[in-house]
Amino acid sequence: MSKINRRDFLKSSALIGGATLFNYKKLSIASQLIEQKKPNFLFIICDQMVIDAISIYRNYFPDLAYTCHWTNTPNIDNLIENSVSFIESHSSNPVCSPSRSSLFTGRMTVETGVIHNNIGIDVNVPNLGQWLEDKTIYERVYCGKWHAGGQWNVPDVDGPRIVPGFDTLPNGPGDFGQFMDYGVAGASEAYLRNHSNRNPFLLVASFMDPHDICFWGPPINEGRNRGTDFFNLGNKLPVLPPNQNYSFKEIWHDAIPKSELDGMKWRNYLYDYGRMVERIDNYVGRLLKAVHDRGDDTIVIFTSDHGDGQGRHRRVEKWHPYQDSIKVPLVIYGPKFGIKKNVVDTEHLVQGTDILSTICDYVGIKPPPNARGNSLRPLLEGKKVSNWKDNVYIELQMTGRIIRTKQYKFVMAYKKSKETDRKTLESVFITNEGKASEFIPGEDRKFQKVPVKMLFDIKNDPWETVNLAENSKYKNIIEEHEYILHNEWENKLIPGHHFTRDYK
Amino acid sequence: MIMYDIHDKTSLISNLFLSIIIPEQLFEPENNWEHKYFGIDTYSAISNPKIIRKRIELTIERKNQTNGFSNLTIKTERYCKSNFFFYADAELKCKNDEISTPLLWTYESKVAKRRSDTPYLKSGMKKNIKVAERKLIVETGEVSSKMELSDNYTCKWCLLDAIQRMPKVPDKSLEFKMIDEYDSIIGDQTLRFREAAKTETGNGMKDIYCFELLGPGTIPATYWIDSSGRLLFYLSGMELLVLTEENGKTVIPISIFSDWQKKSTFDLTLPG
Repeated sequence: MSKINRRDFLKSSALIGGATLFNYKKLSIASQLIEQKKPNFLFIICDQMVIDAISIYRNYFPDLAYTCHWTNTPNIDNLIENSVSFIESHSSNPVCSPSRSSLFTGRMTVETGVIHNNIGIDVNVPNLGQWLEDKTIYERVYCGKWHAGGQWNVPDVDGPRIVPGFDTLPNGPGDFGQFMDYGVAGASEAYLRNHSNRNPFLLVASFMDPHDICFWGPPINEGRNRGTDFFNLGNKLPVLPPNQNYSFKEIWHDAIPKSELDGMKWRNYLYDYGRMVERIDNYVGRLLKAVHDRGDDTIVIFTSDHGDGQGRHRRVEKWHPYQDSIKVPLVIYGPKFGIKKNVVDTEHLVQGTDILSTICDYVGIKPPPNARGNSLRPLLEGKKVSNWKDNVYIELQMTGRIIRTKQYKFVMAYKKSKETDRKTLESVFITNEGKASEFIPGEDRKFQKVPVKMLFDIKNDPWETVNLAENSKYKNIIEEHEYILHNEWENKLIPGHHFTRDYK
Repeated sequence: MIMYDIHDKTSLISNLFLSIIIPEQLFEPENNWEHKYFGIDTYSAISNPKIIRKRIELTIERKNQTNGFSNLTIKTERYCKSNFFFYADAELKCKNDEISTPLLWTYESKVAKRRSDTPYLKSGMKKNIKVAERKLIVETGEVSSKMELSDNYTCKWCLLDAIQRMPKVPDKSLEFKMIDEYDSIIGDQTLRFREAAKTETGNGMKDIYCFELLGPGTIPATYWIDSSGRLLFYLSGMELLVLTEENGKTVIPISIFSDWQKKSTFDLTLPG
């Protein structure tokens, strides 16, 4: 890979525009120099990390019930001190496979077709690896959890279970972070230390944790429940969130009843979650050290696919529309590439789809057609941006939609109108022939026409304790958000058709 | 019901002890020995032992040296997709103190199909590590780094040796910095004696002992040892290590899990 080949040369030539084969030798060197100046990328993804789990964010989440007051994450803190990070950062769909499909394609999940876990990305929608393979000479390596190719988590090195456009640095087998993440960190660190080719790289280090918390409590497992202070942790056990007893009429998972998780069990749940976050912090530290040791020639992007319930509204895991589920960390480091240090952006609304556009911007290529995100580059470099988007659109499982504006969050979702002959809800989106049913909320006979609605004033009610949708005073606000939903988003989305639904 | 409570007959640890024969042969933790651990996830252990898969294999060999030192050789292999493994091996010179403090060690890791293979896709790495003047000094190729360390420190897996020689006395508690697993400091940990108990095993009521480890980055961990000091189980969140071999001889056959399933009252389903 140290020599540039003809295919790579042609790609490089296309990049610098107007090139002819007549200039082959000269351009070959020139194109290599251009590529050398391009940044490498280390894209770190963790699974189920709530944004307020990072200890340096205590000033931004001052209530003692936020997770950051109960964790110590020195490595991620250090990264944030030397980066631009975003407080108003959102998942595109707070479930593993959908969110990941969106992160890697820049498209919404109704477009990738990954509207639920275990469905593969529409074969007509290119992912970031495929896009860079087609347009650049970047080496693209994937290590760790993928979970956007079907009912499997971690890619093989060949065969049908690979991530298209990437070489696989094998790991896994992939259900539990406590076993697999150490290997993801070790293999990724070694790659960072060993890569010395002329070609730049995109390395994805995708950790499983703190997702292991999924296996901690109801509804999945009671094996780790501790209803007492079993380890005599005393005041090291986190306090309970103030909104535990607020829940609303929804169509998603029900709140966990007190009979299943009482106060002490919740506190133990939160304690263990914090330790999982700290373990990831340690692995992030290893990778950052390797980036520094190679001269900071790499842009580091750190995020998560979605958050975690944290006992708020008596929720575990993700799946729901509350802040703890849809908000994720987003940190971007690259001082050698003009990215500012120590900027915590509390103003701009951003989301997972923006990452692909940002990487393409720094590489110097256009994003794939219909990419829905915006490049964050001007924000990262401290440029004044007067026309940044004033809302983000989030899909919620299969039937829910969210519009987040600066002050409000509007949520709507449709109930099934009748039982289908399928066993799972996801199957209503895929016909018996395996094709997408092109569901757009409210347009499918299988769903009720009148959705459940919620409206929260995020600015004044950050713990989401009052559903304003039931208050007629907010009729206009709701109509405004519905207008944004239908006219700025749903009308321009292109539903996916050709899913790789590998259930083997 | 909880995983760790030996006094609760439905707990994971009670069921584990009920399923094994505690070895009768004497174990001398301060001498030379080799232990092999079979690592599984507790989720499968609890929910469906039929699908138990080996997640990690850890071998630790101790060779006693003169003047209060010992050498530990610790090899781990984690199972990866496509028939690969993540190998992480270390050779450590340690003090024979309460926490097996390492002084000088090498660490090597790679992804490969066999331990003798060359690393797959630039995944190989070797580090030389030592501690001097309260600093952890890590040399990786031509790069050297120093990290602040206190006097009391150890590596995560060195505790598998230390715990077997630790006095089983109430109120025993040690504070130290943890290095995870060999080259990265994760903060202050507390290791303390939890309890001595009698519990039903496959060969009758036996005395067993438990230590617990708490601290940043550590899902509360418990070490379960028999009366001669032998570490039988390490249990921390999803991670369960079971002592399967001692000096090449079977200690706990992994078939206990299929036997155990018949007796188990756990009835849980896998996530979709």
